[in-house]
Amino acid sequence: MKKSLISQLNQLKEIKPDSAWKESGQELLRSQIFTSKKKQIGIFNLSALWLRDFVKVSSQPAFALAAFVLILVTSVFFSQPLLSDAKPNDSLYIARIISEKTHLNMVFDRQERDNLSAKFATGHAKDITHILTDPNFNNQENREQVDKLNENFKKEIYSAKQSLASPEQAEELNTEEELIFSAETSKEQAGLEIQENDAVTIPEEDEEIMNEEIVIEEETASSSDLMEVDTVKMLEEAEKLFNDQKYIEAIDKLNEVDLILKVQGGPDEDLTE
Amino acid sequence: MTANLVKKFKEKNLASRVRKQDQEAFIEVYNLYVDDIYRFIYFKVGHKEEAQDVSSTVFLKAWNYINTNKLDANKSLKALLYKIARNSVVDYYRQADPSFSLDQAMGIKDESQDIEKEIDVKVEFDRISVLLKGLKEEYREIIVLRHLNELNWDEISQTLGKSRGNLRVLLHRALKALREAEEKNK
Repeated sequence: MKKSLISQLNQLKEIKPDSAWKESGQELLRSQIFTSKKKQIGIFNLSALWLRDFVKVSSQPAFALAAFVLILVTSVFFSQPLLSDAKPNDSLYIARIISEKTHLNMVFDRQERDNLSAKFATGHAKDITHILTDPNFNNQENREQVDKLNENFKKEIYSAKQSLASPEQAEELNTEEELIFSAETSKEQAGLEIQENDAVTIPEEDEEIMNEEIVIEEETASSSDLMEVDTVKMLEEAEKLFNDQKYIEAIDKLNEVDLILKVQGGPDEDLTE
Repeated sequence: MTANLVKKFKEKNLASRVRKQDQEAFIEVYNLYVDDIYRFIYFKVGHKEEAQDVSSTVFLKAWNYINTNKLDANKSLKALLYKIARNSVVDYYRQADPSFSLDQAMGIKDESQDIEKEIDVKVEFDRISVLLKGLKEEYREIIVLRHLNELNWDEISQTLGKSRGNLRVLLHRALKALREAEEKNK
């Protein structure tokens, strides 16, 4: 209603004087104001006016942009520790993903970026595995969500592998991906049934082990040793363990990958998880 | 956004040059604002020819003012033109009735307009134009300044000498009155 009123008012902008009257008015004005000596603004003064007006007009949007960038940067760095605990079935998980993506976009060194991307992907895979170890969640009732998480796990592992792979490994991965996709398609076309996983029960001792803080001492894991380890292979092993529903072992494997990535990330990285 | 910034910059630069009494810059100001000033006056006086006469005097008065007074850099040139236009309208009414005051000008309704009759015959204006003319002068003024001539709150505040808060309330009431008039004439 209000909008239609405003749009009707906008039509009234068409009310304009005749162009002939405008021209004669301009001539009349010209003849009256040019009776005095014509004022000439020097080129220096004119440039100074331009510069001053440009600064005045652009200062506001420039300030707004600077404030926006500042808020973005601070929110990325301050929100990350807060959001890092969000799990894939939390409502805050999407905020965590956005925060990580923004963080990634702010890293310009390619190697560092790949490393960080792999670290995030491994973290996601680990979180998914953690959720699937919960027998209250991983059951027939939540079958749809469980299937989705299984799918997401594969995507995360693939993304981590791609970030860490050497050029030769990347080529292999691409071929593998093609094979996976074609295999899945043929399965669907053949109308094969996918075997459903049974609910997982985890022994109490294993759960305790899983929840324990893993403290790694620097003496046992020197960075030079860890650099030589093939992280892609380790991720593949973690994937295999996951597929075999050996979730605890898969988490252990992913923790190892995470540790290696932290060491590779630089000496400042905190090795205590 | 960029177009808006360029427009702002152009207006600011023209105002700076006019402050230095640059005649060519003032002719550019005329070309830039004459339509808006004419429209503003037109909705006050209600007749095309009279609106043209009053509009012609506004720019000359503005030039004389700039020549004899130092313009404040924080004051908008556009607001100055509207202020002069407003006073020129009061002068126009005073010519017809010497006892006419500014306060009277605020409460004026265009009595010559028989709204229903005008809508039926559809002469010069469309429906909304006629409804607008039936509003109280201060309501009509704020609607024209804000929605037709797209002045910002600072410029309107400088033109009408009212605070932003008062102006917002006034515009709200004006639009409400216009909506009610529209309902009534459906």
